[in-house]
Amino acid sequence: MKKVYYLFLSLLLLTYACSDDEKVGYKTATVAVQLVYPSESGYETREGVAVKAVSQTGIAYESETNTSGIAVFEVPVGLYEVSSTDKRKETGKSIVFTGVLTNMTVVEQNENPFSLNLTESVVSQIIIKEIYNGGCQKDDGSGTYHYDKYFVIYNNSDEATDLENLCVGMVLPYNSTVNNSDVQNGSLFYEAEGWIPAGLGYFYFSNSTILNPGEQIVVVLNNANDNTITYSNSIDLSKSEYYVTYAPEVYDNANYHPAPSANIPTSQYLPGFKYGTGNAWAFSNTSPALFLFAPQGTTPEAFNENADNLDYYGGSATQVRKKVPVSWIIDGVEVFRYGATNNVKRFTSAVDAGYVNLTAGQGYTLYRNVDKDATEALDENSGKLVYNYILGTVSDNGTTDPSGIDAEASIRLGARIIYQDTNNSSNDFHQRAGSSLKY
Amino acid sequence: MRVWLSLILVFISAYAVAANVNGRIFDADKKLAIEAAVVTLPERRLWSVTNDKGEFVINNVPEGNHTVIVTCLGYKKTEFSITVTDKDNNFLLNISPDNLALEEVVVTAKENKYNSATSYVIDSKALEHQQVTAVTDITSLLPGGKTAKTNNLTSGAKRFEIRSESGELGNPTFMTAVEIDGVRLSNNATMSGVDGTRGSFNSLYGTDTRNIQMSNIESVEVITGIPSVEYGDVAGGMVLINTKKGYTPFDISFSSAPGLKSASVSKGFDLGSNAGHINFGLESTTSTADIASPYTKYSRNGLTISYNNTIGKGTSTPFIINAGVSGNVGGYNSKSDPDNFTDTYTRQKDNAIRAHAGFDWMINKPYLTRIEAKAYVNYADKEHEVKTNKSSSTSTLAFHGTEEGYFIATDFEKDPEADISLIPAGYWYETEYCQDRPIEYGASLKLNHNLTIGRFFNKIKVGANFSTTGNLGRGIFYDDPLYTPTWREYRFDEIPFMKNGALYAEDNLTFPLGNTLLQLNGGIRYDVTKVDGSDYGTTSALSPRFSGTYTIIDNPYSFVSNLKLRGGIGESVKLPAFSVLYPDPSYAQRLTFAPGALADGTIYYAYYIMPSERIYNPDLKMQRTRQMEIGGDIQLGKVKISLNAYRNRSYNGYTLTNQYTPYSYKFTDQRAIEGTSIPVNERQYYVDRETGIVTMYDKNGIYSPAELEYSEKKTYKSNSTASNISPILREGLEWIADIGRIKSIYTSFRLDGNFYHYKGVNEELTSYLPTSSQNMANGDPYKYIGIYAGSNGVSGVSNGSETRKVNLNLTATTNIPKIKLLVSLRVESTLYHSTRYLSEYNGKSYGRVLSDRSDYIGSAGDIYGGDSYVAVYPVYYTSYDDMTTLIPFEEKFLWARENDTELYNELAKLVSKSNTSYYFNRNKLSPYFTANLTVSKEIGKHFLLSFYANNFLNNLGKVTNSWNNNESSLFNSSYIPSFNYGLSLKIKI
Repeated sequence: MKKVYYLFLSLLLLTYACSDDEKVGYKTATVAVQLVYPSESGYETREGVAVKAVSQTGIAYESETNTSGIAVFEVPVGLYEVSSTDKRKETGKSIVFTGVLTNMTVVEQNENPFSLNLTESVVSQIIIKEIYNGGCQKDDGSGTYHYDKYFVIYNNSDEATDLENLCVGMVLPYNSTVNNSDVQNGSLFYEAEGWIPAGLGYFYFSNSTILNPGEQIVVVLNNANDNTITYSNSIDLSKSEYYVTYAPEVYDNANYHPAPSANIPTSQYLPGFKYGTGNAWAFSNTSPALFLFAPQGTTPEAFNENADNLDYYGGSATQVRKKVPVSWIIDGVEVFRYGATNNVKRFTSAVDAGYVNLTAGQGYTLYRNVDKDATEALDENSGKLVYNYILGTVSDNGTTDPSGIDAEASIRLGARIIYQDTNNSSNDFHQRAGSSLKY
Repeated sequence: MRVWLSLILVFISAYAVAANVNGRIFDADKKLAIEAAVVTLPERRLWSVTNDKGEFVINNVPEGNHTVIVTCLGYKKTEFSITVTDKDNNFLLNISPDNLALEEVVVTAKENKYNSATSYVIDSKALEHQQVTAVTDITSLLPGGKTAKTNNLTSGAKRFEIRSESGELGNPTFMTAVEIDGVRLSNNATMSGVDGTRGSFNSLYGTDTRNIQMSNIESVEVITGIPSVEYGDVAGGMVLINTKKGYTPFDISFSSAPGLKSASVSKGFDLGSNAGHINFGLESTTSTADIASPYTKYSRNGLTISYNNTIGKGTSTPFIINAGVSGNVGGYNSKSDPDNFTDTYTRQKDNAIRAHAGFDWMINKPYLTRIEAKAYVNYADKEHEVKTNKSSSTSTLAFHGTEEGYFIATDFEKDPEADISLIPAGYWYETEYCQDRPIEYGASLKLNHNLTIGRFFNKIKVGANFSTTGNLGRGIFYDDPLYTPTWREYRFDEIPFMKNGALYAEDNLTFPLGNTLLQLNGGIRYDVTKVDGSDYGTTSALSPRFSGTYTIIDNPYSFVSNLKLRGGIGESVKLPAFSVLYPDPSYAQRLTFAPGALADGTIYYAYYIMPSERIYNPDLKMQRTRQMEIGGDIQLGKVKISLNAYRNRSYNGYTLTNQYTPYSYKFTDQRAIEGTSIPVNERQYYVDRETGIVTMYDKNGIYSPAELEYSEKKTYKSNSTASNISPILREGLEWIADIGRIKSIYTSFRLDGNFYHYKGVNEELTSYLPTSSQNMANGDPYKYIGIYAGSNGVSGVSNGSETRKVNLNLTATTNIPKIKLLVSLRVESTLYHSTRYLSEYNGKSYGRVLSDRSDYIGSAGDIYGGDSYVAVYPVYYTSYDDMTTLIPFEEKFLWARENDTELYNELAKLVSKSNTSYYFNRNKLSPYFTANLTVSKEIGKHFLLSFYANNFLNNLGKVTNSWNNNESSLFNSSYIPSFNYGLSLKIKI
């Protein structure tokens, strides 16, 4: 079968030629990207799957596959990152095929056939709807306040679910902009072993917590108090419905983890464990990799106590991590620092095939895009959807929700939003101008 | 027996009577008698001062050849050779005004050949020409010396390092002593940390010299070799600064360089024939941090007043009285800098006042030749003040309690005296002061007795010093009690003063051996330090020192006109600093109960506070240096060559290390309050101060109180303790080759350089817990303490380093007397520069070569083999459960690898690993060069214009290193000075 593909590719390339674009003065070349589905999935190629190629300078080119699963681009020569997501619906769940190919070199007057291997994943009920971690400007102009981090868990399905034992972890290295020791021979070494490293420690829901379809839980990571009294650009994280990660027995740094507001019942505290080094669960201000996981066949406590699942980052005995099997992971979001040239991905394609850029310190939040078709298809949403969404940050080198639906405004009108979940944050998230708890 | 007989014969044959020497000193140009010129016979420590007729008398001078040195402010220091006979010894000596019309002008360091130790003198002419901003810059004029990277005074303290380099073990700057006119600038009681930062008890540095005004310095002598026993509290170089004394014209100078402005005026007044002289010197210097911004700056505003008078001028028993006061007001200040956040700043005073009084009496009695006495006081105000902006959206914890127990955080407004305060949320400013006011006062007496028996000449010097050192500062405090962060008062002025006393005796015997001359010098010093209020009590140390010179040829008429050999061995002792001796209280505070905010919004935190003090070390020894030196001088025609080899071994360098004391406290978990029947809004808590047990009450009294469950948490409190490090070796070779003046090109050349070798490894066992916030795999606090060889583990995988350097400087000095122009070009080169990190234990390399970065075991290979990661194990470890049993680490670790994975994983946290595979590679730099140009021009009789350009070629070359084969630019590097230039104008009226 592969031989047929390559023959076809060669024929295609014969019909396309490299050309000099005299008008703009740069060389272009033809690229053919073949989507390759995992053979064990039983799925075949199909027509109309979007494939995106992004140049180093950030210019995006889009194309769609033909029936053979080949997408053809004509792009200037250079380095590209190619990604694609194909979502297939099944009863009760969605199967998502995602893949990303980095450092794809397109050269002039040469054949440019590439294979993009797709990874299969099942879309779950629970998603991370929003991450607010970049902080905001202080009122006195003295810099950034960043002890106001939170994220939002959302039930994106049509069935209620219980969050008990759901764990909150982050990948070590904590920032994307480090010389990542996990990258060996061009890929993350743990990809082949099927796990994701949870650094420092993790928190978990210790009580039964039912989340109905369309409902959300705000999990405060730092400072569950009304931050707006001091910092008007910040957020009131003291509301009674919020949950808070609070484990003073292991994380006793009162800057990161001060005593939560009295409004928040202690039953909404998420206890935590620590196996790494530090007195705070220091979630990156710029570029975290956050994930939710549900231990299978064990409990959060037993998983912590089991020393067999430890890993040491870069071989360092003090940079301790837990190996969380990819199959346990409910959702993960890879955040890159906007403008940095040394961002390195920490999630494998099975968790998050893409990333979302963040400009920190401006009060921006990372917000999931709306699945326009699925949301509009719900009868209950009739007349409740608000369009002309304006809170994207396109004007500030950021992104916006391509659906155009203002999810928060629609929710206030009683709509139930179905968010886009393709396991690719490049498609699924945008940088929003402000926290959904505030705007 | 034969030797004794020979000696006696020499003694008898050489017997001769001493004679009196008299004469007159004249101005070579005006042919007028010079009053107040000092006439010295340096080899005999005899001196006289001329009267208004220029006359002097020196008694008891042995027959034979002698050197006479005549010094007078405004005149060139001039040496004469005289021959004393049993008849008429009347000499007429002419000296010339010191200006550029002279043929020979020295703008580098000159070796002081009358000091039996290696010693160099830099005079005011060299200082003027080089436009030195800070007195430490003169070290660039020593053999192989390097020009400072910058003349900026804002970038940190300027401290002397003599025959040592920064970053080395054994506190190199702390070992060096600095005196101005005999006033010791002690740093023993200074609390300011490195680079003048906020005060703390960790200061083991030498004195910051930035507050010493330059315009009033007459000369600086740097004793790099074995100093006389009259100098104590020093273990690595003496710097003696002499200010101007005597009549001088008005001397007004202005200098300017990018980021630096200076103006000064000085004048020496003659108060009349018998009333002496009084000298004034005033200087104002400002250095800005950024040449583009004039706001953040260091300023020096110094005033010096000195008085001296000679009674008995022209007689053989002159008596000099001298007294002086100098002071400085200035320091670092960023207060007006608009680039700072509104109203925030850092300010550090660098105020000082020094006073001294003393006399020097040429008593010339058979039982006593000379008597010198002085008293001094040196007080400095180095108050550090930092105003910072703060903000918080919740209350901020501030710990103030000094007693052990469990305490509840309380709003400041409710209890300003609470052991734990809560600073209210919002925006505020915090102004922190560190009042650091070191003071030292002392007195000394020195008696000299010269005895001439024939051609044997013996000098005996005995003396005593006494000094008291303390600090009058309040320590750290804050302006507003409400916004005071974690802090406990520790007043420096309540620390008892440290008292030092010393007695010394030195004998110097000179006798001829045929046509040669042998001089032997031996001395011993006994220091006693009384440390009131400290467990260290009274300590003492002996430091013997010996040296000798052997003059083989001293004949100005032969081609080899001078040949002299010298050598010495001696020990010197550095007294401890306050930071070593006194208990510095410290506190651990652990969160024990934090149930979240209460219904009324009150935040509730309970903490356990555990106080402790620096641990007394009964084995602490005084830091000392054993110096050995051998050298020689030779003059071949006009070429003078000087060579000195030295080997300094420094023992017992002071350091502060940690010791760990296990303790436990009760932690009440969040889960303990879940499931209690008291409604959340009705809960109240009580924490027992002694036991830490938390009891929950119902506000309304409906439910009975419940004692909450707790768990015992075990952890460590770290306490510092003073200890000594392993011996440090510094050795080297220094040379100066002066190729005399070549008249046809008006130029003289000098080639100076040095080879320097340093090896410092601290193998003393040191306890260390890598990270206090680390837990065991099961979540408990980490229970093991590593006991490492020196700093292995504490600061990486090395416990020392080794340096080898060869520096070579060429100075060409062109002096055209006719047009009074002086140009000096100096090329500084470092031909060889190699450093390497070391890890050693028991004198052998210590570490394991790893197969890759993630390996912990590797093999016991050669860690210096290159390009491999290296792991260093602690030598032993102890566990919380048993702190006294030292468990050999390597053995247990290797065992655990096979038999106990859990222990292996935990012990692995104590292993130190290199970050790179090239860490232990030799770092050899390719040679590098720089060139400095200095021009001085006298215009008429009253003006002197000087210009300098350091690194005037703006070397943008690159150096490669063999460490990781990287190339780096010399531009803005630490290897050569950055391109900088300056201009100064001096007016003499």
